[in-house]
Amino acid sequence: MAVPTSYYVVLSAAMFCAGLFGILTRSNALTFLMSVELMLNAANVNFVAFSFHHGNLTGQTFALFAMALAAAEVAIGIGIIVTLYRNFGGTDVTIAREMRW
Amino acid sequence: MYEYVPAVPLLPLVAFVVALVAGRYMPKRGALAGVLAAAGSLVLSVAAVVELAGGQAHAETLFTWAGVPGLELTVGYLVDPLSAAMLVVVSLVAVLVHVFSLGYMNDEGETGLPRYYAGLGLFTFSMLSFVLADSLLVAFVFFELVGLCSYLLVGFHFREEAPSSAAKKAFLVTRFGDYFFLVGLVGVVVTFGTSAFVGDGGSEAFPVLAEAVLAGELSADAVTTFGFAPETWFAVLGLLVLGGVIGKSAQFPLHTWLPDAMEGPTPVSALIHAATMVAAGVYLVARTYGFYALLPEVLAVMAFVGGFTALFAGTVGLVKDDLKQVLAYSTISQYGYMMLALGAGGYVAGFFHLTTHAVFKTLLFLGAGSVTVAMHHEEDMWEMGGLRERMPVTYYTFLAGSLALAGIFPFAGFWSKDEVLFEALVHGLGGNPLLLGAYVMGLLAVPVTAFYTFRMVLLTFHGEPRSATAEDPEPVRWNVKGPLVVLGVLATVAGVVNLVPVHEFVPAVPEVLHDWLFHGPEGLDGEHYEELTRRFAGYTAGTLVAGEAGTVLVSAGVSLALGLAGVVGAYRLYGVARPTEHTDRLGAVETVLYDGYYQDEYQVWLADRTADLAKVANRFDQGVVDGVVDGVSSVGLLSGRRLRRVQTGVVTSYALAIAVGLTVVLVVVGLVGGWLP
Amino acid sequence: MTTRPRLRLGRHLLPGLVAVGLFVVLAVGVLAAPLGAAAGFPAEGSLAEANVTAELADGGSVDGGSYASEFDGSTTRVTVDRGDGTVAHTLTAADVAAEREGDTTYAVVSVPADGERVGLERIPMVDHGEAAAGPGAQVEGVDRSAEPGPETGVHAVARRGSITETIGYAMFDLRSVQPLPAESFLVVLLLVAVVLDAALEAAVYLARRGDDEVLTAIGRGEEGGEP
Repeated sequence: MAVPTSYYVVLSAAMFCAGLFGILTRSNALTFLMSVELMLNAANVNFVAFSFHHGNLTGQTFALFAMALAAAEVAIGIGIIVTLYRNFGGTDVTIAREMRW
Repeated sequence: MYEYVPAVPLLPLVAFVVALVAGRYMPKRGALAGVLAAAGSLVLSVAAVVELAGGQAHAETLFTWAGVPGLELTVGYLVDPLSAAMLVVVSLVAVLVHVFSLGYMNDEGETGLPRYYAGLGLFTFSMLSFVLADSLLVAFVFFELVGLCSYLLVGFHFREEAPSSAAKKAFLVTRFGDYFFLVGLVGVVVTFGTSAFVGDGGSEAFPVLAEAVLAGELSADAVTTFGFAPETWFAVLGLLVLGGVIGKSAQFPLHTWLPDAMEGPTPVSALIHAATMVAAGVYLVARTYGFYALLPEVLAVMAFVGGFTALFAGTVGLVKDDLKQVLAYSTISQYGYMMLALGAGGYVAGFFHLTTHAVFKTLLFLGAGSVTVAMHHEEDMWEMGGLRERMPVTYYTFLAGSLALAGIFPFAGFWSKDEVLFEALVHGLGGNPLLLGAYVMGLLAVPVTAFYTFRMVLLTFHGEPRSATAEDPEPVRWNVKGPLVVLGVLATVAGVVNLVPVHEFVPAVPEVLHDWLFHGPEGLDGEHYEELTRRFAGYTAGTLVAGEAGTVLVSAGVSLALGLAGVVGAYRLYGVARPTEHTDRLGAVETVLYDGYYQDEYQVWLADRTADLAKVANRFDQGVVDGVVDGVSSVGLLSGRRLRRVQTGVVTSYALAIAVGLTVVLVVVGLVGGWLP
Repeated sequence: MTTRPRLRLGRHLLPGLVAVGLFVVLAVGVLAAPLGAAAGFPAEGSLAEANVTAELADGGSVDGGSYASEFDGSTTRVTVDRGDGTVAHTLTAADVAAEREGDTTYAVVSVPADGERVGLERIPMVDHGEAAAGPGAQVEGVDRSAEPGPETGVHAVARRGSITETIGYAMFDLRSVQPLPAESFLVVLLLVAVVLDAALEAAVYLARRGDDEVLTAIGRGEEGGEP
């Protein structure tokens, strides 16, 4: 018997919240990036789960593209981290707080 | 067929652009362009008159400026006897003034000449366009433009205090009148749905509509009168437009700008403040005479204001010492005559006086300019004297102009002034005693005019020189003398265009102008106007003694006798080698006259009161209006100053805010939507 | 250098509460949602639920062996012999798919051997005309309500769905051969290609120093960071 879709979604929610917790507590940009990956993959789990639920492969295909976009995001993110490091001497996101009131 | 007519105003416009753009590179600093353009306009104007003499009047709409179906504001031109004649007058004066400017401005080494000639070009353009206007709207636009040019040219020497202040005054005072005109214009458009002077295929002219309504041929519902009786409402409109006329034509009480405007260069005074711009007001009345002829109350106001202004300004001219000031008050006075004529139903007489006055007043101003050049810009007549032998051309032409101004037979002014007074007299006798009052004032102004005119001539040219410059005046060149001679001849003979009294006795003598103006297009001719004044204003001709012929003789005789009396009086007092200031004997009266009856003072006082009002309004604006606005903004500022602390610059806090917000939104939406148990 | 995350009550309390709170809300919402049973995907070569009975040709050869079939009016029994023993199987609807090659439609039958599936067998089907299905035939041709029988039984028109294959087709907008439902992703594919390219370029740009050297020492970014 197949696993009910809800369980997959709950799993996805758990992954998302874990990623969120990571973002809220970490200050290292790399850890940040990993947490964001976790959240993105939570979304992917959702895609696949609902693809199965609806018997339509759009969700699976979309998950594939989400991964590709995650790769792009990481590429940019790493570039930003490099710049951060260069300008602030570290990868702590709490140091760079120039863009405020 | 009149295709060239738009070129009449456009030529000076081209000259304006040329003088402005390339004037400084041209040999005479743009003067030649102006002279050529004005001469071209004159030639085309004469061509228009010639064509009109053998043809039909012509109106053409050039384009639609704005509008909705049923209310279209169009721009076009109208060539009829009145506008064609006025075109000739304006362009003739413009040519002569341009030529004279060569002597007055170029030879005197003035700076900023391209600006000067550009101003003259623009002025000529505006005035000619105003003359050609086919609707009140177009007329208003160029009316304003004429006022602007006056401002620019009076303030030509803008670095000095007096001219710039005079320019401002001229602009503001005429604008004050123009506000009434503007309101009246809007009123006319709203009332009649058109402001055209002449009807085309689709719509009628507004005077025709007004006539039809008042005659009962057209239901009063066809026009919007805002609940007033049509007579009342039309009179209100007529008075509003008359406000602009009074401002522009320097009638009491809005005349105060004109004497100050003498601060401008003398050719400008001649062009603008004697012959053309001030004429715009009177011309406007003549243009819309089909409307005014329907309104007896407005006509009465016009006649009274005119008669009063004629007398009032003349008395001020009695005591002035400055040559141009005398001429300024004389201009005001003479325009009073024109208003009197128009108010008294003398459509032809008013325009006739406008024409002759344009000639002899230009002549007098240019003569005064010639004297000014000779006297090294000294304008006090008490510093002159004895110039007769030293500048004969100026003297004799000036004398011709003076005789015309004083209304001495057979100079131009005699014929026109006589006809003005005659019209007032016969219509007054014909059952309008009110007009008789205006007539009396006009008649009293005759000896006054003659007196101050000859006081001016005698003080300037006769007697012994009273200063070193008067002993040895600077010679003037052909470009000064030429226009003077042309105008001198014209001032002497211009009366022949309308020898109405002679025609009365010798029918073989033609009354050219009279016939010319009586045979315009339908609804725009003097015959129609005469019919209207008789029908709506009750203007019938009365007689004094011995029928119409006798009345003509008596009227002419009385005014001529009074004029001669004025001349003789002046000669008795000032025609001596060393004249004294007899005005001192007038005592306090002299001060009153010299200060122009304190018109300036009370108007300044009024202006100060409006300034006080403006101060109160300003305080209200600063305190209450701005206070509210500032209060609102300060709330925003204060809260913004507090709230912006939320933006810490730390990414984590933003993420936290987003997460909390998302949770809250989910909970709320879930609870409201019911999918959260 | 490895860092070991430690929970600190003071700084991590609020984030923790938020994360847990969001999870609880989501979980409650999802679990309470009436999602219903999943549609799922048909197993490869099978028809998920169809009340059909295939009528097969009486006998013949299959890949590496021979077969015989018997149709008794309600069920079809297939016996396949590949030389290593005979497997007999009563076909159920789930076992039948169809495939067309040339003029012949084959029933693709999954035959279990000893309780395990032994793989596909292609068995020619009796062609009743309306059962003709093209390559990658879709299930739309199945008349699920029809009474089984020689004449009306739907003849194993089934999808030959493969998930991976469908994804591949969907990415290139080849709908005519796409066996399972999915939208077209051709435009998305192109866009993502461009985006990835741009991201690569941007990453290199950001990482480039003024002297045109690409910074490589990212791993040193721990000072100032969290312990």
